[in-house]
Amino acid sequence: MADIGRPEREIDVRPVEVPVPRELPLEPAEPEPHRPEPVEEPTPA
Amino acid sequence: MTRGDIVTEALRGWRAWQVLDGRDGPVLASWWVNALWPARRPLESRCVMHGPHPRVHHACGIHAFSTREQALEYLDRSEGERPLLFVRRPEHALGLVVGRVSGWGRAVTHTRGWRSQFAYPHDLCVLRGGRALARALADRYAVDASFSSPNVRMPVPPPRSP
Repeated sequence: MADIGRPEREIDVRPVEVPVPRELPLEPAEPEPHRPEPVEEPTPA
Repeated sequence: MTRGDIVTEALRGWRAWQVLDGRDGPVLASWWVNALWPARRPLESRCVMHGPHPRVHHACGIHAFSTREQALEYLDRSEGERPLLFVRRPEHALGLVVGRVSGWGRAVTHTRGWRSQFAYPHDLCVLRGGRALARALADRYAVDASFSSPNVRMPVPPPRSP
């Protein structure tokens, strides 16, 4: 077992923020909606 | 001995782990006791005598050392001893890791470290296992993980009896 020495005191540790990462792996980015190619307007003669 | 002090910052200490091949990828495992460290949620201490709260005059709780050197000494010393409580054989480990750990909940401070009710890795340094294992652990536990190769040897399996 780990030899961490003599016990000193009992404490209550209440961190403001629990040190556990919550973020999940990034989901694949959603594909961008299809945009039609711009069509050049015919120049009036 | 004083009791009941309230601390608002998580404790920070050092530990050594072995890495096992879990169902969902590499998993950190305690060296002596049969404890697998879950990803993205805290490990909670469970003592058959005292429940989750570490008691002063018992060894229960999740242990951490004060310094990296102490954690490495522990790794080196464990190599020569036969684990009594650990059911997974060290020779099957994917790697060895040392790193910092956060502890909170009910805790007992010691002269060389502490024991806590809850714990989660803070950052990891893979000593044996390679960079790919460091990346896999970083992804799984969402903590920083690096690879380094100090002079720490993997445990040698005991010779098989005939």
